[in-house]
Amino acid sequence: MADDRDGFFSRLSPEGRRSAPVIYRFTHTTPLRVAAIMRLVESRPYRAAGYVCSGFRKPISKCLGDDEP
Amino acid sequence: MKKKLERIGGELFKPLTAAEQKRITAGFTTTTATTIFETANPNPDFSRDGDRE
Amino acid sequence: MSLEPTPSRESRFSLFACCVPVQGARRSVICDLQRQTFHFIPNGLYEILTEHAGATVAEIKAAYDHEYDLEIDEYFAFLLEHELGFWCDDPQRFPAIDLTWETPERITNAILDVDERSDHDFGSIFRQLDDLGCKALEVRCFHRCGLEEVRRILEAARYGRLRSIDLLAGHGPELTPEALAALANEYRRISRIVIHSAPERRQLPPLPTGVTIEYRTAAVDSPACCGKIHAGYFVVNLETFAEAQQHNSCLNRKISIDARGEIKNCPSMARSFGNAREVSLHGALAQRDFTALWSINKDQIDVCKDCELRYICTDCRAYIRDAADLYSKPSKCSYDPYTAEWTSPAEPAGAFRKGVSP
Repeated sequence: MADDRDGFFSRLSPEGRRSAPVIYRFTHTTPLRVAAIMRLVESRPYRAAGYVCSGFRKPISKCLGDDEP
Repeated sequence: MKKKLERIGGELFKPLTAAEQKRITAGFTTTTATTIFETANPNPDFSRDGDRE
Repeated sequence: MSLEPTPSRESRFSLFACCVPVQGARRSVICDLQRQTFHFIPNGLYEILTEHAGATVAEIKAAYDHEYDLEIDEYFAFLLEHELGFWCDDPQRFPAIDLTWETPERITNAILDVDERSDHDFGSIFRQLDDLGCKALEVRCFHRCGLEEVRRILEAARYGRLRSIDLLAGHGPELTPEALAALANEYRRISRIVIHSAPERRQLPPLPTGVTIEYRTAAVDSPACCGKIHAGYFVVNLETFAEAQQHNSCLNRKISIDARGEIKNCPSMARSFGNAREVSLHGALAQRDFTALWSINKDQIDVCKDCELRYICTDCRAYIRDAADLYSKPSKCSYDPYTAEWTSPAEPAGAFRKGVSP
């Protein structure tokens, strides 16, 4: 079962590789875990649609402009 | 009341390009523990992020 | 994710509960609170999603006398493409999301300003913030900082309840990327570091813990720099969206201590509720007027109330267009919701730089 993890990162799409670091931890062994992770990772490029607003918190102050080169 | 229906592909409804919207809150901060991507690759490429592309 | 693109004749479209439409004067948005994105949509689509919610496509097209059949088909294709909703036979089984906002903390966020002349008792301040339940702190150092000075501030919060500390500091030779990364690794409450007045702009890749470190050339040398309204500060998530429904998206549950130790709603405001050396934060908070501005939400503010971005944008009551009108638009916002245009930053007429008294 360890074999299917080989080259996992290289099997991701370019967008999938750029997605934010996340751990997917399985509480039990399953032959579907790699497929599940790949599906989850590949679904995350939706961040590129519309405006991406990251951060779970609101800004506390607003001192920084958006006009820096 | 019925409005005039505009085409969804109109200019007004396009998302801004990345250049038009510079992210200020670029951190993936959460109130829960941040976790790290675990892969079979022992050296994932952390050197790239959206602002460098 | 595959969705059935072709509905049956009796199918009705239902937005996902986390996808909330917001109407503006010239256009609307759908805020996807789960995926933290938003999409501009025509006001006509907003009308369909609200006034014709639960109707079949045929009924919707008939309601517009079949003059916009193409546009309506494009609307639903758009919604499906961006995974904002789905076809179903029983939309009544999918209730709207509850946007009630509650939190047990009396204070959720705080600003602490520091300059060369500041004389804060950081330990006392952080203990009091802990008592109030404060989760997030932003420390703004307007002057050029040394590493030990920053470390002294962070050390005072080492055993407290803060979940995150945003650090804004003036550039000094000791604040190298390596030193800041080491600082962030040692003090795990740090969530973000911004070094202003730096010789060059630089954005470092996020640390493995998610902490971001960046250098900016513009100086942030006083509270007057605050209040900037632009898309970079938009935040889309259930917590902030819900809070914005009934509360001021900046000032609600916020307490600030300016560089002189004055306790305020916001360091940019004139009204002080006492000095932290003499008055407790709890005592300041208990004063009747302290929370007066917390309930001014965007639906009460001129222009903002017609803006489709009003629930994802953070307000500013300190710098407003009309000093005499507490409900006037933030002066540093250049967006016009009536034309859906970001105008060039105008010189804010009557910018109320001395703050607002409730």
